[in-house]
Amino acid sequence: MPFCTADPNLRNDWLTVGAASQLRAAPAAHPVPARLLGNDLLLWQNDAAAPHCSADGRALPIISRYGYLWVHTGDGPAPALFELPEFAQPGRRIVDCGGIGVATSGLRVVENFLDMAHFPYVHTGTLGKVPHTEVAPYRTAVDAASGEIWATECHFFQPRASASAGDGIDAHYRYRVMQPFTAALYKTCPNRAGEWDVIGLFVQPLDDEQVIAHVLLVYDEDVLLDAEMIAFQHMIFGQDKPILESQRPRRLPLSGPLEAHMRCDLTSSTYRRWLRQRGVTFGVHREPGA
Amino acid sequence: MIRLYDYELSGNCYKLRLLLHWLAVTYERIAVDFHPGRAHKSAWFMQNINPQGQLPVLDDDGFVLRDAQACLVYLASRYDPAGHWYPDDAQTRGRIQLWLATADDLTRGISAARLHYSFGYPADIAACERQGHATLRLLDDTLAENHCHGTRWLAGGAAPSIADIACFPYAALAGEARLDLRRYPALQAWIGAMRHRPGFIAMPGIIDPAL
Amino acid sequence: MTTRCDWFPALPAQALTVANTVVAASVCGQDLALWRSASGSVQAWEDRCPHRGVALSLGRVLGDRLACAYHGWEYAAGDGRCVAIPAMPHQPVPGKVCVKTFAAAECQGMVWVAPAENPPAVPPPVAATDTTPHFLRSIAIAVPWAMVEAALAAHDFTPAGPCQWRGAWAGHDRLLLWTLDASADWCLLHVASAAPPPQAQLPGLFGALRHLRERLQIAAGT
Repeated sequence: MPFCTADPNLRNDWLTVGAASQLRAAPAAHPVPARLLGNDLLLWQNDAAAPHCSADGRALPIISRYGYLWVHTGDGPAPALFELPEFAQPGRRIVDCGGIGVATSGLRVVENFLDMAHFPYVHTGTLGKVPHTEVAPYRTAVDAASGEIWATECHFFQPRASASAGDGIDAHYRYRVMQPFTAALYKTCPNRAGEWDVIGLFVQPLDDEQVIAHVLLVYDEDVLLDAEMIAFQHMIFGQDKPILESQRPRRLPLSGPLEAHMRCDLTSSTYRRWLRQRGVTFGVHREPGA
Repeated sequence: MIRLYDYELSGNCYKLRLLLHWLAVTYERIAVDFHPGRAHKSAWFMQNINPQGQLPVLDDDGFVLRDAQACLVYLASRYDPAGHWYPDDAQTRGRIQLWLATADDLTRGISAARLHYSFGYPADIAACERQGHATLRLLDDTLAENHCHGTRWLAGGAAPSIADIACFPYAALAGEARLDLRRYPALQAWIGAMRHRPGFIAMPGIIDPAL
Repeated sequence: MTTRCDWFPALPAQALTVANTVVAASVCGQDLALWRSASGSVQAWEDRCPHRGVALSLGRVLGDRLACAYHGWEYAAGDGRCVAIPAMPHQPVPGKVCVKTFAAAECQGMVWVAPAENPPAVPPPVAATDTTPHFLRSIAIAVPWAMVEAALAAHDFTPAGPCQWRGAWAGHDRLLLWTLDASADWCLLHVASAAPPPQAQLPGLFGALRHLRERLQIAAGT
């Protein structure tokens, strides 16, 4: 079975197939199945715990970074994977929140991750609260060297910004889009002033309209148990899920009259323009006849 | 102090969180790493908390009880002196028992499909869909017919009972099992009625009307 | 067979009597969000917010407005125009942001919807009764509309107007039925009684309806 897209944005880059820990009990004789771009993959590790991957009987390059497995499905050389320096910082708490399936285009999942205006309505009482609904102006830019999107100077009033937050705070955010299907947010750390907690979103596209959204926490946190941090993250994601799954069309429109754009949607319009400029077609809505 | 072994995204755990909230009983929520950790299947959990390896589990000062429906009966019996949630008369109790059993059908159908789509659990999806629709149809039929007999609740009466709490979460989460509620208007009305009860609290996946 | 017309019997109006209700419905393959504004008028909107395409049936009724569940954008009953964007509370809302609305009319206890670009020239058909019918239930049958119509014809019901039937069944003399072509593979059958229904006979009628559903679905293999 071939991959369901030839889009070079996907085929030439690394795509995640989930946590590296899934290979712990997966020798070559008992590989773990995974699905990517409409194709069935097999993953295993050899005696030296090096990951391996095959699809259609062919070996595919696979690496393990940030506790996740990344596969290259294209023919040419793969670019370097994005950097996440906080991952290796001493004292950081790394928590893999696992992958949750969502029936929508991965581009919708990333766009939702970049949005603050929904906080008071979808994450009521935690990440936002009516009447603190206004999104103050912030900046977006595409970094010339890396080609990544950065949104900076974002902030939003949050009654309970994280699992360990006590009182409401004006949380500061920075957003980063590394690939069409990977993003990170950097937010005010309630425990240490001046530090950023990092949440990584790595979307595994099963096909144009089905994904597994993996979330990685790279936090400054000493007290909470993993289960408590995961519970908070799953609460947030679980609240987003019915919204994401009700969006029509499922695939993301990059232009045209289907959806309205306002100034408060700056990360969304930046992201869509960036996808258009890169010529992304996978997971993108096309008008019939277009 | 009641301790509830709990997972944020579990509809079965939410049933107890909802009833405990409506009963205004304080409790301690113990987060169990259901996913990705599968802590409920760990040796420690199965030896010390629940040999069935399932959530929720209730520990009320040493009285340990598993199974969401059993816990609903216990909590209503122990903490609801007015008897609203588990009324004392034989006919109502008989009806409630029927719906507690239906709640297991919802777990088998809708919850199983939801676990498959969300967490990759193996499932016979076609069977889950058939079971899911069959149970939703039963609920819709009952609620539509009950309405003509003057009640909007599963076990009859002027107010919801634990029968309604037992069946509510997975019916309301049917969308995550890829089942559309458009064809069940009476069921939609009942879901709306539950969500608009004073003091309602939601769970992720069920939209809270209050902001 | 009854005739079709521009109007479709979407739901009994009593489904929209409880405040703050938004019903997810389907008429002729068009997904709709049905709701009633505080001033009482019934609304049939495309179930899709023009901002990010989220289902409006997940939203909240705020008086004469419907607010989307995603970002709280508020749309006015009537023309569906966006009148509030909470993320930008101090800027005027652009005039062109609007939900796609359909003509909806409440007539003798039934909500009729015309899922067409332009509202029909004629009002919805009146029921073959001089009083508001007593609605009993709506039942979904997972077969095409024509199959339900054929079954009612074979059952000795008489056509009483577009998508409407009348007749006697299971101890009820003056039944009224409306068939809604919800989508290619399912219908909604609305059942009412022109006179106050004998309570003791209701279980028999309900059983007969369920049996009809089972029989048709088995025949259609659904």
